[in-house]
Amino acid sequence: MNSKNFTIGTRSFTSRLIIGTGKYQNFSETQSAIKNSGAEIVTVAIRRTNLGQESSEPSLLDYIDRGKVTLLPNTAGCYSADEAVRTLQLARELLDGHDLVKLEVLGDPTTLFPNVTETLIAAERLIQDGFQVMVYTSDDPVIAKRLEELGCVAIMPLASLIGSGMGILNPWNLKIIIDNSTVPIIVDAGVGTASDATIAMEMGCDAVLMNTAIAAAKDPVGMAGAMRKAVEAGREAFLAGRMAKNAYQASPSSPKTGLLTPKG
Amino acid sequence: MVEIWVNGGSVTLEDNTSVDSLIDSLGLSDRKIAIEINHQIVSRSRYDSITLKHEDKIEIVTAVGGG
Repeated sequence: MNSKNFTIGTRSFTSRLIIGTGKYQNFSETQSAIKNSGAEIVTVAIRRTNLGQESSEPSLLDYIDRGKVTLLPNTAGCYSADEAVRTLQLARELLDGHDLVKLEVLGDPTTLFPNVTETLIAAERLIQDGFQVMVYTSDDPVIAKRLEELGCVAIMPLASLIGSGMGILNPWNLKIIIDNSTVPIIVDAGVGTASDATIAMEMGCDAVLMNTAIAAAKDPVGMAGAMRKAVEAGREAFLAGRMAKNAYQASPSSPKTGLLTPKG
Repeated sequence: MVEIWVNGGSVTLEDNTSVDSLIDSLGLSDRKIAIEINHQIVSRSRYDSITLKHEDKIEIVTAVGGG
């Protein structure tokens, strides 16, 4: 197996950047952003079909090459385990049995913070129903571990609020979650710019999921490319093993001996 | 005639209209969709064998952009 790959459940990927398909100006921009990001997994939402739509009007799936990209249906807008389970069962039917899904059960419409107790209930039911669940959660290490123990294939703690662009607000909790986990940890929510993604990867995250950071950038397709490099750079830095920090003492990089004007 | 609910809106149909016919009349035959009738998911293979009854509640969903 290529050591650069990473595994989610039974699937293997090379890109560690997962992106959403919401908030773009049009489907063409969505398509270009996906391409420039190098993402191999993109999230989609499940919603009622617009019945007034002309049958010739394009739809999102017309712009995504399912041979190259894995779709990840989400449960955005669900506030209960029942709603989330129902949504993903419909998604599985829609996508011909596809079973890799993103679970999110929200607790509050202003902050979109996850309702972790309903999330645990939904995760257990979905896993029993044969889904491979990637789960959006808070940065609570106990909940993260519990979701892993239930059988989620990836744990996705928020860096900060969905769509807030605030970056990683609690790196210490995130590090605890990473260190205690045996399944991929994927930062999901709150990434704002390239450095946020790099920092997450440097800390040891397996991947980063973002939507608004790209779609709401002034140049979304440009930002998609930046994010691809940011995730790669962070991952390489992590594997290379950073130097130690020293808060109070300098360490010169040039020799202290052979000076033209010897000291002391 | 039967009156059913589709995505929250009222629709009137001829008696013995199949799910397949409904989908066709909505222009959705070539779309990736999933359907629930009265909270039960209906698989595509059964669209032509299921007839819609009065007061049936249909939900038709599709994949859209989201994070």
